[in-house]
Amino acid sequence: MKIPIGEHFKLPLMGKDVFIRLTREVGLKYDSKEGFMVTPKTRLDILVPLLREALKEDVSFVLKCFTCGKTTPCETCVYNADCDRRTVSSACICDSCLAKKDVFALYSEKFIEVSG
Amino acid sequence: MLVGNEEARLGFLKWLKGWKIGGKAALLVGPPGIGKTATVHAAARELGYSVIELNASDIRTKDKLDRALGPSISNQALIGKSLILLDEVDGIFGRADYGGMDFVLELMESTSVPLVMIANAQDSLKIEKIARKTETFRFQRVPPRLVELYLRGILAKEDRELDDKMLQAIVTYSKGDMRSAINDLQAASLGEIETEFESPERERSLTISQSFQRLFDASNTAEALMALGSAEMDPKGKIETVFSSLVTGSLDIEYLANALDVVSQADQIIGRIQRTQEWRQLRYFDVMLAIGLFYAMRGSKVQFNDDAVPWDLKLRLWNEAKYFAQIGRILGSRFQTSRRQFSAVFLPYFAIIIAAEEDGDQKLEHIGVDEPTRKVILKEGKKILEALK
Repeated sequence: MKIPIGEHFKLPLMGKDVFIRLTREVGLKYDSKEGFMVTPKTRLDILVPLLREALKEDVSFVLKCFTCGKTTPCETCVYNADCDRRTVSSACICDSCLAKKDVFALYSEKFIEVSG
Repeated sequence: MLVGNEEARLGFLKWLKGWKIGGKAALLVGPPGIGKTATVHAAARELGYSVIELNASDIRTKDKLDRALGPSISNQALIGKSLILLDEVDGIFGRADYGGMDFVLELMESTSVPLVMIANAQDSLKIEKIARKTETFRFQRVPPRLVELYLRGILAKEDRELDDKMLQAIVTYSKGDMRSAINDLQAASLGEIETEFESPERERSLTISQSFQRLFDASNTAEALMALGSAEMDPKGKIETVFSSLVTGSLDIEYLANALDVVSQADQIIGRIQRTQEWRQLRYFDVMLAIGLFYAMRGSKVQFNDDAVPWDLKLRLWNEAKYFAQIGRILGSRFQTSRRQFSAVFLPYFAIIIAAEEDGDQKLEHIGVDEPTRKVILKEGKKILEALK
């Protein structure tokens, strides 16, 4: 299970108790149409083991690359231990974009493009 | 060009593009150093606005705000297309008696130019109240990889190079604060910070006390880093030594708070490394502690001291410890606890109770406490009672 930061995500039905824990104890934001979302108040340290246990699968976080739009996994990032994903803005940059020589120009162009 | 907070920046740009007289004011909220003010200036430049900027921390009263902004508001024809930027409005909203908040609320209703406010305090109730009346754009810290991207952009523009590990250390230490990342990059690229920080030049001949004294006396970040690197001690030991030197010194309270904050962050890093077993993160430790302390102390002097006990307390320990040990020895067993436990937990309460008794001295004598010890216990109890009043 890959949890996107800064975006809504859906979870399978896991029962009332897990839902209550996710919204109250873990602090996930919930919208009946959009699904769940990580906020600055979310307890990631509780969320990961809770979902692992409930889903019986590994759980990791991903951020969206602002330049190319692909999701980029956090677990292989050199800053994984230092990046507080609850409190950083939602877009990041993927390895392949970061490796490009003109990455800063690409990022700037993308911002200008989306700002219309 | 800025990085991070794309959604908030795009939202603000859209707000300014579409702003019309009678439209809502904008409020940019988020921690310092992440590009809120820069966003306003960049958007204003893009759309041809001149910025009338006021730091609300300096001008808080209604009269002063009116005097500073009045001419700009009423002379739009002369000034041209402009927007009002009130930075650090937390200062205005913090003091109701100054009337600044009322002025801003009035201005929000009546302004004929876009009004932009910037606040750092995200959880303040007053800011939340204002947020309901404005278009609010919430800024967050910038993800580390985007900080790195930005710093790489600067290096490329300035045609400079920096060791990857050093760059990563600066990014990590910045914690998403672009301002501090840029400052550190500038220091590093000017050679003030060792680029090969994994093996900084060490002076093996320095003793531990000399190393720490050099750290505290350092006149630049490179010296601070070299000094800390020369101290042959494990990270925990370094934290304890820095802590004891800071708390036994006479640093100005503000600098002391900043320096202790750095020590606390360094301690958290060690804790995290131990939890996650990410030992490679250790290489950033000296950089963070040395550079953090350098900036936190800003030239203030601290003496090396590896003993965490303040001097006045040390004197009391020297003079009175034997008496407390005696009372602990006598009463520990009666309270069915150890001498240490009694001294650490029960003694203050016991001293209060016995000092409040008229015949406290006789009672102590009855259980076999000698006269000098009785005097110390009763004096201590009275002191605590006095402090409690």
